[in-house]
Amino acid sequence: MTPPLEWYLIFSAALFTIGLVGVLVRRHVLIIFMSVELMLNACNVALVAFGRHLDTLTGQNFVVFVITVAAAEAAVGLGIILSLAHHKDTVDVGEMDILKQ
Amino acid sequence: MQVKFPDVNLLALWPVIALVVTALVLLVVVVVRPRLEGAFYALLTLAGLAVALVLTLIQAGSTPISTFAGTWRTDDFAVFFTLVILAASILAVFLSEDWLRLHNVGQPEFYTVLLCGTVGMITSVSATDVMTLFLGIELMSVPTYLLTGFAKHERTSNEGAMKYFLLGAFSSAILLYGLVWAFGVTGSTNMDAIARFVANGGGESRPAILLALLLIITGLGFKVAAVPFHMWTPDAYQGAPTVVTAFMSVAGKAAAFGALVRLLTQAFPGLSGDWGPVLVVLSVITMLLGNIVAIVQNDVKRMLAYSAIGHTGFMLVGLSTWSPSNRFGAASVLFYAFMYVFMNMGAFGILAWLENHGGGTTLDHLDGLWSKAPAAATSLAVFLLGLMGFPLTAGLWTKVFVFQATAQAGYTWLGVLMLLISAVAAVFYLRVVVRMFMFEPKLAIASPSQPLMVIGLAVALIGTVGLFVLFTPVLEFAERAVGIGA
Repeated sequence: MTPPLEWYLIFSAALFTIGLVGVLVRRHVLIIFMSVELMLNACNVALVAFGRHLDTLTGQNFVVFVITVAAAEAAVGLGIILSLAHHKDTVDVGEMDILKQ
Repeated sequence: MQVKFPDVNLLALWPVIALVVTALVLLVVVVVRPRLEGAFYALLTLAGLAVALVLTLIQAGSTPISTFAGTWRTDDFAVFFTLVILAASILAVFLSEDWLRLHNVGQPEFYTVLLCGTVGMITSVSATDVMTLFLGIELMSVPTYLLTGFAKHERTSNEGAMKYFLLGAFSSAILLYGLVWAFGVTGSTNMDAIARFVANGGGESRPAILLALLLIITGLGFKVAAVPFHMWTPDAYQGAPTVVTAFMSVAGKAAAFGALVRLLTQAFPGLSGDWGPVLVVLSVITMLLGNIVAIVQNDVKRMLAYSAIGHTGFMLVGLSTWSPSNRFGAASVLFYAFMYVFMNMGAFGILAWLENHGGGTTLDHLDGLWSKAPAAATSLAVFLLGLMGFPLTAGLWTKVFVFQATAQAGYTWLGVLMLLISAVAAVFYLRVVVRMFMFEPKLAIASPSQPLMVIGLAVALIGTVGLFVLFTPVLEFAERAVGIGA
Protein backbone atom coordinates (compact mmCIF):
# COMPACT_ATOMS: atom_id res chain seq x y z
CA MET A 1 0.00 0.00 0.00
CA THR A 2 1.37 3.43 -0.88
CA PRO A 3 1.20 6.13 1.79
CA PRO A 4 -1.64 8.63 1.33
CA LEU A 5 -1.13 12.05 -0.29
CA GLU A 6 -1.31 13.87 3.05
CA TRP A 7 1.92 12.28 4.29
CA TYR A 8 3.88 13.63 1.36
CA LEU A 9 2.30 17.04 1.74
CA ILE A 10 3.13 17.18 5.45
CA PHE A 11 6.69 16.12 4.65
CA SER A 12 6.91 18.81 1.97
CA ALA A 13 5.45 21.46 4.28
CA ALA A 14 7.97 20.49 6.99
CA LEU A 15 10.87 20.77 4.53
CA PHE A 16 9.57 24.10 3.29
CA THR A 17 9.24 25.46 6.83
CA ILE A 18 12.75 24.32 7.75
CA GLY A 19 14.06 26.12 4.67
CA LEU A 20 12.03 29.24 5.41
CA VAL A 21 13.21 29.44 9.02
CA GLY A 22 16.76 28.72 7.88
CA VAL A 23 16.73 31.70 5.50
CA LEU A 24 15.35 33.98 8.19
CA VAL A 25 17.60 33.05 11.13
CA ARG A 26 20.94 31.91 9.72
CA ARG A 27 23.68 34.44 8.89
CA HIS A 28 25.99 32.35 6.72
CA VAL A 29 25.44 33.00 3.02
CA LEU A 30 25.96 29.38 1.98
CA ILE A 31 23.57 28.09 4.65
CA ILE A 32 20.94 30.63 3.54
CA PHE A 33 21.43 29.49 -0.02
CA MET A 34 21.12 25.84 1.05
CA SER A 35 17.89 26.69 2.86
CA VAL A 36 16.49 28.19 -0.35
CA GLU A 37 17.40 24.98 -2.17
CA LEU A 38 15.57 23.07 0.54
CA MET A 39 12.46 25.17 -0.13
CA LEU A 40 12.68 24.42 -3.84
CA ASN A 41 13.01 20.72 -3.13
CA ALA A 42 10.00 20.88 -0.81
CA CYS A 43 8.11 22.20 -3.84
CA ASN A 44 9.43 19.27 -5.90
CA VAL A 45 8.19 16.71 -3.35
CA ALA A 46 4.75 18.32 -3.34
CA LEU A 47 4.71 18.44 -7.15
CA VAL A 48 5.49 14.76 -7.56
CA ALA A 49 2.97 13.80 -4.87
CA PHE A 50 0.23 15.95 -6.43
CA GLY A 51 1.06 14.67 -9.92
CA ARG A 52 0.84 11.06 -8.78
CA HIS A 53 -2.40 11.72 -6.89
CA LEU A 54 -3.99 13.45 -9.88
CA ASP A 55 -2.60 10.81 -12.26
CA THR A 56 -0.98 13.38 -14.53
CA LEU A 57 2.54 13.91 -15.82
CA THR A 58 2.32 17.67 -15.31
CA GLY A 59 3.73 17.39 -11.79
CA GLN A 60 6.89 15.61 -12.87
CA ASN A 61 7.13 17.84 -15.88
CA PHE A 62 7.16 20.87 -13.59
CA VAL A 63 9.84 19.24 -11.39
CA VAL A 64 12.24 19.00 -14.33
CA PHE A 65 11.88 22.75 -14.88
CA VAL A 66 12.35 23.51 -11.18
CA ILE A 67 15.55 21.45 -11.05
CA THR A 68 16.87 23.26 -14.12
CA VAL A 69 16.05 26.64 -12.60
CA ALA A 70 17.69 25.65 -9.31
CA ALA A 71 20.87 24.68 -11.17
CA ALA A 72 20.96 28.02 -12.99
CA GLU A 73 20.37 29.87 -9.75
CA ALA A 74 23.16 27.93 -8.03
CA ALA A 75 25.63 28.77 -10.82
CA VAL A 76 24.85 32.48 -10.70
CA GLY A 77 24.57 32.60 -6.91
CA LEU A 78 27.89 30.90 -6.26
CA GLY A 79 29.50 33.25 -8.77
CA ILE A 80 28.19 36.25 -6.86
CA ILE A 81 29.32 34.77 -3.53
CA LEU A 82 32.82 34.14 -4.94
CA SER A 83 33.12 37.63 -6.33
CA LEU A 84 32.11 39.10 -2.97
CA ALA A 85 34.50 36.82 -1.06
CA HIS A 86 37.35 38.13 -3.23
CA HIS A 87 36.75 41.61 -1.85
CA LYS A 88 35.93 40.83 1.71
CA ASP A 89 36.98 37.64 3.41
CA THR A 90 33.56 36.87 4.83
CA VAL A 91 30.37 35.01 4.03
CA ASP A 92 28.41 36.46 6.93
CA VAL A 93 25.47 38.60 5.81
CA GLY A 94 25.70 40.57 9.07
CA GLU A 95 29.02 41.99 7.89
CA MET A 96 27.63 43.19 4.57
CA ASP A 97 26.89 46.65 5.71
CA ILE A 98 28.15 49.20 3.21
CA LEU A 99 24.68 49.68 1.82
CA LYS A 100 22.32 50.99 4.36
CA GLN A 101 20.77 54.26 5.24
CA MET B 1 -1.66 8.33 -19.94
CA GLN B 2 -1.41 9.63 -23.48
CA VAL B 3 1.38 12.02 -24.35
CA LYS B 4 1.05 13.97 -27.56
CA PHE B 5 3.31 16.53 -29.08
CA PRO B 6 1.93 20.02 -28.38
CA ASP B 7 0.96 22.41 -31.13
CA VAL B 8 3.62 25.00 -31.83
CA ASN B 9 2.88 28.27 -33.56
CA LEU B 10 6.12 30.17 -33.98
CA LEU B 11 4.26 33.28 -35.17
CA ALA B 12 3.61 34.10 -31.52
CA LEU B 13 7.31 33.91 -30.73
CA TRP B 14 9.00 36.00 -33.43
CA PRO B 15 10.04 38.86 -31.10
CA VAL B 16 11.52 36.42 -28.62
CA ILE B 17 13.31 34.52 -31.36
CA ALA B 18 14.82 37.78 -32.61
CA LEU B 19 16.16 38.54 -29.13
CA VAL B 20 17.56 35.05 -28.56
CA VAL B 21 19.29 35.07 -31.96
CA THR B 22 20.83 38.47 -31.18
CA ALA B 23 22.07 37.19 -27.81
CA LEU B 24 23.63 34.13 -29.45
CA VAL B 25 25.24 36.21 -32.19
CA LEU B 26 26.76 38.44 -29.50
CA LEU B 27 28.15 35.37 -27.75
CA VAL B 28 29.77 34.18 -30.99
CA VAL B 29 31.11 37.63 -31.81
CA VAL B 30 32.74 37.91 -28.40
CA VAL B 31 34.75 34.75 -29.13
CA VAL B 32 35.76 35.83 -32.63
CA ARG B 33 36.26 39.56 -31.95
CA PRO B 34 36.50 40.06 -28.19
CA ARG B 35 37.39 43.76 -28.11
CA LEU B 36 35.88 45.69 -30.97
CA GLU B 37 36.25 49.44 -30.90
CA GLY B 38 33.30 51.80 -30.87
CA ALA B 39 29.70 51.06 -30.23
CA PHE B 40 29.50 47.96 -32.43
CA TYR B 41 28.04 45.67 -29.74
CA ALA B 42 25.52 48.27 -28.60
CA LEU B 43 24.36 48.88 -32.17
CA LEU B 44 24.04 45.13 -32.80
CA THR B 45 21.94 44.77 -29.63
CA LEU B 46 19.83 47.77 -30.61
CA ALA B 47 19.27 46.25 -34.04
CA GLY B 48 17.99 43.03 -32.44
CA LEU B 49 15.74 44.93 -30.06
CA ALA B 50 14.43 47.11 -32.89
CA VAL B 51 13.55 44.02 -34.93
CA ALA B 52 11.75 42.58 -31.90
CA LEU B 53 9.91 45.88 -31.42
CA VAL B 54 8.73 45.95 -35.04
CA LEU B 55 7.60 42.32 -34.85
CA THR B 56 5.68 43.08 -31.64
CA LEU B 57 4.02 46.10 -33.25
CA ILE B 58 2.92 43.85 -36.12
CA GLN B 59 1.38 41.48 -33.56
CA ALA B 60 -0.53 44.33 -31.90
CA GLY B 61 -4.17 44.29 -32.85
CA SER B 62 -4.09 40.93 -34.61
CA THR B 63 -6.04 37.98 -33.23
CA PRO B 64 -4.54 36.45 -30.07
CA ILE B 65 -2.37 33.40 -30.71
CA SER B 66 -2.39 30.68 -28.08
CA THR B 67 0.34 28.12 -28.53
CA PHE B 68 2.53 25.48 -26.84
CA ALA B 69 -0.52 23.57 -25.57
CA GLY B 70 -2.05 26.70 -24.07
CA THR B 71 1.01 27.71 -22.04
CA TRP B 72 1.80 30.84 -24.04
CA ARG B 73 -0.57 33.47 -25.38
CA THR B 74 0.33 36.48 -27.46
CA ASP B 75 -2.71 38.69 -26.93
CA ASP B 76 -3.09 42.44 -26.47
CA PHE B 77 -2.10 42.12 -22.81
CA ALA B 78 1.16 40.36 -23.65
CA VAL B 79 1.85 42.74 -26.54
CA PHE B 80 1.30 45.78 -24.34
CA PHE B 81 3.76 44.62 -21.70
CA THR B 82 6.20 43.39 -24.34
CA LEU B 83 6.25 46.91 -25.79
CA VAL B 84 6.88 48.37 -22.31
CA ILE B 85 9.71 45.89 -21.67
CA LEU B 86 11.31 46.38 -25.09
CA ALA B 87 11.14 50.16 -24.72
CA ALA B 88 12.92 49.87 -21.36
CA SER B 89 15.56 47.52 -22.81
CA ILE B 90 16.23 49.81 -25.76
CA LEU B 91 16.63 52.80 -23.45
CA ALA B 92 18.87 50.70 -21.18
CA VAL B 93 21.23 49.93 -24.06
CA PHE B 94 21.37 53.60 -25.05
CA LEU B 95 22.14 54.61 -21.47
CA SER B 96 24.63 51.85 -20.65
CA GLU B 97 27.06 51.95 -23.56
CA ASP B 98 29.02 54.89 -22.17
CA TRP B 99 29.20 53.46 -18.68
CA LEU B 100 30.45 50.13 -20.01
CA ARG B 101 33.07 51.83 -22.18
CA LEU B 102 34.31 54.17 -19.44
CA HIS B 103 34.59 51.34 -16.91
CA ASN B 104 36.02 48.86 -19.40
CA VAL B 105 33.35 46.30 -18.53
CA GLY B 106 32.68 43.47 -21.00
CA GLN B 107 30.11 44.95 -23.35
CA PRO B 108 28.94 41.86 -25.30
CA GLU B 109 28.49 39.89 -22.08
CA PHE B 110 26.44 42.70 -20.57
CA TYR B 111 24.14 42.91 -23.57
CA THR B 112 23.76 39.14 -23.77
CA VAL B 113 22.63 39.00 -20.15
CA LEU B 114 20.36 42.00 -20.71
CA LEU B 115 18.72 40.31 -23.71
CA CYS B 116 18.23 37.06 -21.76
CA GLY B 117 16.53 39.03 -18.99
CA THR B 118 14.31 40.73 -21.57
CA VAL B 119 13.29 37.33 -22.95
CA GLY B 120 12.42 36.21 -19.41
CA MET B 121 10.32 39.31 -18.85
CA ILE B 122 8.42 38.79 -22.11
CA THR B 123 7.87 35.14 -21.14
CA SER B 124 6.44 36.04 -17.75
CA VAL B 125 3.86 38.43 -19.24
CA SER B 126 2.91 36.07 -22.07
CA ALA B 127 2.51 32.96 -19.92
CA THR B 128 -0.96 31.52 -19.47
CA ASP B 129 0.30 28.53 -17.52
CA VAL B 130 1.82 28.78 -14.08
CA MET B 131 4.77 26.60 -15.14
CA THR B 132 5.69 28.98 -17.95
CA LEU B 133 5.08 31.91 -15.65
CA PHE B 134 7.56 30.56 -13.10
CA LEU B 135 10.14 29.94 -15.82
CA GLY B 136 9.67 33.47 -17.12
CA ILE B 137 10.04 35.00 -13.67
CA GLU B 138 13.25 33.04 -13.12
CA LEU B 139 14.65 33.81 -16.56
CA MET B 140 14.05 37.45 -15.68
CA SER B 141 15.49 37.27 -12.15
CA VAL B 142 18.71 35.33 -12.72
CA PRO B 143 20.09 37.72 -15.38
CA THR B 144 19.05 40.66 -13.19
CA TYR B 145 21.16 39.30 -10.31
CA LEU B 146 24.09 39.15 -12.72
CA LEU B 147 23.52 42.68 -14.01
CA THR B 148 23.33 43.99 -10.43
CA GLY B 149 26.77 42.55 -9.72
CA PHE B 150 28.24 43.55 -13.06
CA ALA B 151 30.61 46.14 -11.62
CA LYS B 152 32.51 43.28 -10.04
CA HIS B 153 35.39 45.40 -8.79
CA GLU B 154 33.09 47.55 -6.70
CA ARG B 155 32.04 46.19 -3.35
CA THR B 156 28.72 47.99 -3.34
CA SER B 157 27.77 46.23 -6.57
CA ASN B 158 28.79 42.84 -5.11
CA GLU B 159 26.89 43.42 -1.94
CA GLY B 160 23.76 44.63 -3.72
CA ALA B 161 23.87 41.59 -6.00
CA MET B 162 24.28 39.25 -3.04
CA LYS B 163 21.33 40.66 -1.14
CA TYR B 164 19.20 40.76 -4.27
CA PHE B 165 20.14 37.19 -5.13
CA LEU B 166 19.39 35.75 -1.68
CA LEU B 167 16.03 37.47 -1.30
CA GLY B 168 15.17 36.95 -4.96
CA ALA B 169 15.78 33.21 -4.76
CA PHE B 170 13.88 33.11 -1.47
CA SER B 171 10.87 34.88 -2.98
CA SER B 172 10.96 32.64 -6.06
CA ALA B 173 10.74 29.61 -3.77
CA ILE B 174 7.72 31.10 -1.97
CA LEU B 175 6.05 31.92 -5.29
CA LEU B 176 6.76 28.39 -6.52
CA TYR B 177 5.22 26.80 -3.43
CA GLY B 178 2.07 28.85 -4.03
CA LEU B 179 1.94 27.79 -7.69
CA VAL B 180 2.47 24.15 -6.68
CA TRP B 181 -0.51 24.32 -4.33
CA ALA B 182 -2.63 26.01 -6.98
CA PHE B 183 -1.76 23.13 -9.30
CA GLY B 184 -2.32 20.46 -6.66
CA VAL B 185 -5.71 21.72 -5.58
CA THR B 186 -7.15 22.64 -8.96
CA GLY B 187 -5.51 19.77 -10.86
CA SER B 188 -4.14 21.96 -13.61
CA THR B 189 -1.34 24.42 -14.26
CA ASN B 190 -3.38 26.21 -16.92
CA MET B 191 -4.70 29.58 -15.79
CA ASP B 192 -8.07 29.20 -17.51
CA ALA B 193 -8.57 25.77 -15.89
CA ILE B 194 -7.63 27.22 -12.48
CA ALA B 195 -10.13 30.05 -13.08
CA ARG B 196 -12.89 27.55 -13.85
CA PHE B 197 -12.10 25.66 -10.66
CA VAL B 198 -12.16 28.74 -8.41
CA ALA B 199 -15.12 30.37 -10.19
CA ASN B 200 -17.49 29.48 -7.37
CA GLY B 201 -15.04 30.29 -4.59
CA GLY B 202 -13.29 26.91 -4.55
CA GLY B 203 -15.78 24.90 -2.50
CA GLU B 204 -14.19 22.50 0.00
CA SER B 205 -10.65 23.32 -1.08
CA ARG B 206 -11.12 27.05 -0.46
CA PRO B 207 -8.59 27.21 2.45
CA ALA B 208 -5.90 25.56 0.33
CA ILE B 209 -6.63 27.92 -2.60
CA LEU B 210 -6.40 30.93 -0.31
CA LEU B 211 -3.08 29.64 1.04
CA ALA B 212 -1.79 29.31 -2.52
CA LEU B 213 -3.01 32.80 -3.35
CA LEU B 214 -1.32 34.25 -0.27
CA LEU B 215 2.00 32.56 -1.15
CA ILE B 216 1.74 33.81 -4.74
CA ILE B 217 1.04 37.39 -3.66
CA THR B 218 3.97 37.20 -1.23
CA GLY B 219 6.34 35.83 -3.87
CA LEU B 220 5.38 38.38 -6.51
CA GLY B 221 5.21 41.06 -3.80
CA PHE B 222 8.99 40.66 -3.46
CA LYS B 223 9.45 41.00 -7.21
CA VAL B 224 7.41 44.21 -7.49
CA ALA B 225 9.01 45.55 -4.26
CA ALA B 226 5.84 45.91 -2.18
CA VAL B 227 6.21 46.62 1.54
CA PRO B 228 6.79 44.49 3.67
CA PHE B 229 8.69 42.51 1.01
CA HIS B 230 10.82 45.43 -0.11
CA MET B 231 13.98 45.05 2.02
CA TRP B 232 16.18 44.08 -0.92
CA THR B 233 15.12 47.05 -3.04
CA PRO B 234 17.10 50.00 -1.62
CA ASP B 235 20.32 47.97 -1.33
CA ALA B 236 20.05 46.32 -4.74
CA TYR B 237 19.04 49.57 -6.44
CA GLN B 238 21.81 51.56 -4.78
CA GLY B 239 24.50 48.91 -5.22
CA ALA B 240 23.77 48.11 -8.86
CA PRO B 241 25.37 50.13 -11.64
CA THR B 242 22.95 53.05 -12.17
CA VAL B 243 21.97 51.97 -15.68
CA VAL B 244 21.09 48.53 -14.35
CA THR B 245 19.01 50.13 -11.61
CA ALA B 246 17.15 52.04 -14.30
CA PHE B 247 16.51 48.86 -16.25
CA MET B 248 15.39 46.67 -13.38
CA SER B 249 13.29 49.32 -11.67
CA VAL B 250 11.30 49.76 -14.86
CA ALA B 251 11.37 46.58 -16.95
CA GLY B 252 11.64 44.16 -14.03
CA LYS B 253 8.81 45.87 -12.23
CA ALA B 254 6.64 45.96 -15.38
CA ALA B 255 7.19 42.24 -15.96
CA ALA B 256 6.45 41.31 -12.35
CA PHE B 257 3.31 43.46 -12.44
CA GLY B 258 2.35 41.84 -15.74
CA ALA B 259 2.66 38.40 -14.17
CA LEU B 260 0.75 39.53 -11.07
CA VAL B 261 -2.09 41.12 -13.05
CA ARG B 262 -2.31 38.13 -15.39
CA LEU B 263 -2.39 35.63 -12.50
CA LEU B 264 -4.88 37.50 -10.35
CA THR B 265 -7.26 38.55 -13.11
CA GLN B 266 -7.02 35.46 -15.28
CA ALA B 267 -6.42 32.57 -12.89
CA PHE B 268 -8.14 33.92 -9.76
CA PRO B 269 -10.84 36.32 -11.00
CA GLY B 270 -13.41 34.48 -8.88
CA LEU B 271 -11.47 35.37 -5.74
CA SER B 272 -11.11 39.11 -6.42
CA GLY B 273 -13.16 39.71 -3.28
CA ASP B 274 -10.37 37.96 -1.33
CA TRP B 275 -7.21 39.31 -2.93
CA GLY B 276 -8.59 42.82 -3.45
CA PRO B 277 -8.54 43.77 0.26
CA VAL B 278 -5.09 42.17 0.70
CA LEU B 279 -3.76 44.39 -2.08
CA VAL B 280 -5.47 47.44 -0.56
CA VAL B 281 -3.54 46.88 2.70
CA LEU B 282 -0.27 46.23 0.83
CA SER B 283 -0.74 49.31 -1.33
CA VAL B 284 -1.39 51.61 1.63
CA ILE B 285 1.70 50.53 3.59
CA THR B 286 3.81 50.49 0.41
CA MET B 287 2.81 54.04 -0.55
CA LEU B 288 3.36 55.32 2.97
CA LEU B 289 6.71 53.70 3.66
CA GLY B 290 8.20 54.25 0.19
CA ASN B 291 7.39 57.93 0.01
CA ILE B 292 8.10 58.82 3.62
CA VAL B 293 11.47 57.06 3.91
CA ALA B 294 12.49 58.68 0.61
CA ILE B 295 12.31 62.08 2.30
CA VAL B 296 15.24 61.40 4.64
CA GLN B 297 17.59 60.02 1.96
CA ASN B 298 20.70 61.98 1.13
CA ASP B 299 21.71 59.86 -1.85
CA VAL B 300 19.43 60.60 -4.80
CA LYS B 301 19.89 57.09 -6.19
CA ARG B 302 18.66 55.59 -2.92
CA MET B 303 15.90 58.21 -2.77
CA LEU B 304 14.71 57.09 -6.20
CA ALA B 305 14.81 53.48 -4.97
CA TYR B 306 12.36 54.36 -2.20
CA SER B 307 10.36 56.42 -4.67
CA ALA B 308 10.19 53.27 -6.85
CA ILE B 309 8.70 51.44 -3.86
CA GLY B 310 6.18 54.26 -3.51
CA HIS B 311 5.23 53.91 -7.19
CA THR B 312 4.67 50.19 -6.64
CA GLY B 313 2.16 51.26 -3.99
CA PHE B 314 0.36 53.55 -6.46
CA MET B 315 0.17 50.74 -9.03
CA LEU B 316 -1.13 48.29 -6.42
CA VAL B 317 -3.91 50.78 -5.64
CA GLY B 318 -5.04 50.48 -9.25
CA LEU B 319 -4.88 46.69 -9.26
CA SER B 320 -6.69 46.33 -5.92
CA THR B 321 -9.84 47.94 -7.39
CA TRP B 322 -10.16 45.28 -10.10
CA SER B 323 -13.24 43.09 -10.23
CA PRO B 324 -14.68 41.06 -13.13
CA SER B 325 -17.32 43.74 -13.69
CA ASN B 326 -14.99 46.73 -13.27
CA ARG B 327 -11.70 46.12 -15.05
CA PHE B 328 -10.45 49.67 -15.30
CA GLY B 329 -8.09 49.17 -12.33
CA ALA B 330 -5.95 46.77 -14.34
CA ALA B 331 -5.92 49.19 -17.28
CA SER B 332 -4.63 51.93 -14.99
CA VAL B 333 -1.74 49.65 -13.93
CA LEU B 334 -0.80 48.96 -17.54
CA PHE B 335 -0.98 52.65 -18.38
CA TYR B 336 1.17 53.47 -15.32
CA ALA B 337 3.81 50.92 -16.30
CA PHE B 338 4.05 52.42 -19.80
CA MET B 339 4.47 56.03 -18.66
CA TYR B 340 6.82 55.01 -15.85
CA VAL B 341 9.37 53.72 -18.41
CA PHE B 342 10.26 57.17 -19.71
CA MET B 343 10.18 59.09 -16.42
CA ASN B 344 12.14 56.63 -14.32
CA MET B 345 14.68 55.57 -16.96
CA GLY B 346 15.25 59.26 -17.61
CA ALA B 347 15.81 60.12 -13.96
CA PHE B 348 18.25 57.26 -13.40
CA GLY B 349 19.80 58.02 -16.79
CA ILE B 350 20.73 61.54 -15.69
CA LEU B 351 22.29 60.14 -12.52
CA ALA B 352 24.29 57.68 -14.64
CA TRP B 353 25.38 60.56 -16.87
CA LEU B 354 26.57 62.48 -13.81
CA GLU B 355 28.52 59.47 -12.55
CA ASN B 356 30.15 59.07 -15.95
CA HIS B 357 31.24 62.70 -15.63
CA GLY B 358 33.08 61.89 -12.44
CA GLY B 359 30.28 63.10 -10.22
CA GLY B 360 28.27 61.18 -7.67
CA THR B 361 24.62 60.80 -6.84
CA THR B 362 24.29 62.54 -3.49
CA LEU B 363 22.38 65.79 -3.10
CA ASP B 364 25.70 67.64 -2.74
CA HIS B 365 26.73 66.49 -6.18
CA LEU B 366 23.56 67.93 -7.66
CA ASP B 367 23.99 71.37 -6.09
CA GLY B 368 23.98 74.05 -8.73
CA LEU B 369 23.88 71.60 -11.61
CA TRP B 370 21.91 74.22 -13.54
CA SER B 371 24.89 76.52 -13.90
CA LYS B 372 27.24 73.74 -15.05
CA ALA B 373 24.98 71.56 -17.19
CA PRO B 374 21.67 73.30 -17.85
CA ALA B 375 20.33 70.61 -20.20
CA ALA B 376 20.96 67.82 -17.69
CA ALA B 377 19.46 69.84 -14.84
CA THR B 378 16.35 70.71 -16.82
CA SER B 379 15.87 67.13 -17.98
CA LEU B 380 16.22 65.75 -14.46
CA ALA B 381 13.73 68.35 -13.24
CA VAL B 382 11.23 67.25 -15.90
CA PHE B 383 11.68 63.57 -15.01
CA LEU B 384 11.25 64.25 -11.30
CA LEU B 385 8.16 66.39 -11.91
CA GLY B 386 6.84 63.51 -14.01
CA LEU B 387 7.40 61.05 -11.19
CA MET B 388 5.66 63.53 -8.91
CA GLY B 389 2.62 63.60 -11.19
CA PHE B 390 2.97 67.22 -12.24
CA PRO B 391 0.87 68.59 -15.15
CA LEU B 392 2.55 68.89 -18.56
CA THR B 393 4.20 65.51 -17.99
CA ALA B 394 2.82 62.02 -18.61
CA GLY B 395 3.05 61.47 -14.85
CA LEU B 396 -0.13 63.46 -14.30
CA TRP B 397 -2.28 60.93 -16.20
CA THR B 398 -0.85 57.96 -14.27
CA LYS B 399 -2.22 59.43 -11.04
CA VAL B 400 -5.47 60.60 -12.66
CA PHE B 401 -6.37 57.18 -14.01
CA VAL B 402 -5.48 55.31 -10.82
CA PHE B 403 -7.71 57.79 -9.01
CA GLN B 404 -10.47 57.23 -11.57
CA ALA B 405 -10.19 53.47 -10.98
CA THR B 406 -10.62 53.92 -7.22
CA ALA B 407 -13.61 56.22 -7.75
CA GLN B 408 -15.29 53.76 -10.10
CA ALA B 409 -14.82 50.89 -7.68
CA GLY B 410 -16.11 52.80 -4.66
CA TYR B 411 -12.67 53.07 -3.03
CA THR B 412 -12.59 56.86 -3.26
CA TRP B 413 -10.94 57.16 0.17
CA LEU B 414 -8.00 55.14 -1.18
CA GLY B 415 -7.71 57.45 -4.15
CA VAL B 416 -7.75 60.50 -1.91
CA LEU B 417 -5.10 58.92 0.32
CA MET B 418 -2.99 58.29 -2.78
CA LEU B 419 -3.24 61.94 -3.84
CA LEU B 420 -2.30 63.08 -0.32
CA ILE B 421 0.76 60.83 -0.30
CA SER B 422 1.69 62.14 -3.77
CA ALA B 423 1.66 65.61 -2.28
CA VAL B 424 4.03 64.45 0.48
CA ALA B 425 6.27 62.90 -2.17
CA ALA B 426 6.56 66.31 -3.81
CA VAL B 427 8.78 67.27 -0.87
CA PHE B 428 11.71 65.11 -1.87
CA TYR B 429 11.31 65.52 -5.64
CA LEU B 430 11.16 69.30 -5.38
CA ARG B 431 14.08 69.41 -2.94
CA VAL B 432 16.34 67.99 -5.65
CA VAL B 433 15.02 70.52 -8.16
CA VAL B 434 15.58 73.39 -5.74
CA ARG B 435 19.14 72.32 -5.01
CA MET B 436 19.93 71.99 -8.70
CA PHE B 437 18.60 75.42 -9.61
CA MET B 438 19.18 77.60 -6.54
CA PHE B 439 22.31 76.34 -4.79
CA GLU B 440 25.91 77.18 -5.59
CA PRO B 441 27.83 74.45 -7.43
CA LYS B 442 30.37 72.60 -5.27
CA LEU B 443 31.96 70.06 -7.57
CA ALA B 444 33.52 70.22 -10.98
CA ILE B 445 32.52 67.81 -13.71
CA ALA B 446 34.52 66.46 -16.60
CA SER B 447 32.75 66.02 -19.90
CA PRO B 448 33.51 62.90 -21.90
CA SER B 449 31.54 62.56 -25.11
CA GLN B 450 28.51 60.33 -24.68
CA PRO B 451 26.48 60.35 -27.90
CA LEU B 452 24.36 57.24 -27.26
CA MET B 453 23.43 58.34 -23.76
CA VAL B 454 22.29 61.73 -25.04
CA ILE B 455 20.03 60.01 -27.60
CA GLY B 456 18.56 57.78 -24.87
CA LEU B 457 17.90 60.72 -22.57
CA ALA B 458 16.33 62.69 -25.40
CA VAL B 459 13.96 59.80 -26.14
CA ALA B 460 13.00 59.58 -22.46
CA LEU B 461 12.44 63.33 -22.33
CA ILE B 462 10.30 63.37 -25.47
CA GLY B 463 8.32 60.41 -24.06
CA THR B 464 7.72 62.10 -20.72
CA VAL B 465 6.50 65.34 -22.24
CA GLY B 466 5.00 64.04 -25.48
CA LEU B 467 2.83 61.41 -23.81
CA PHE B 468 1.18 64.14 -21.78
CA VAL B 469 -0.47 65.16 -25.05
CA LEU B 470 -0.68 61.80 -26.79
CA PHE B 471 -1.82 59.58 -23.93
CA THR B 472 -5.17 58.54 -25.45
CA PRO B 473 -3.90 55.74 -27.75
CA VAL B 474 -1.93 54.25 -24.84
CA LEU B 475 -4.98 54.32 -22.58
CA GLU B 476 -7.20 52.78 -25.27
CA PHE B 477 -4.64 50.04 -25.89
CA ALA B 478 -4.39 49.37 -22.13
CA GLU B 479 -8.18 49.13 -21.85
CA ARG B 480 -8.35 46.73 -24.79
CA ALA B 481 -5.53 44.65 -23.26
CA VAL B 482 -7.44 44.03 -20.04
CA GLY B 483 -10.65 43.18 -21.88
CA ILE B 484 -12.62 46.41 -21.63
CA GLY B 485 -14.95 46.79 -24.59
CA ALA B 486 -13.94 43.40 -25.99
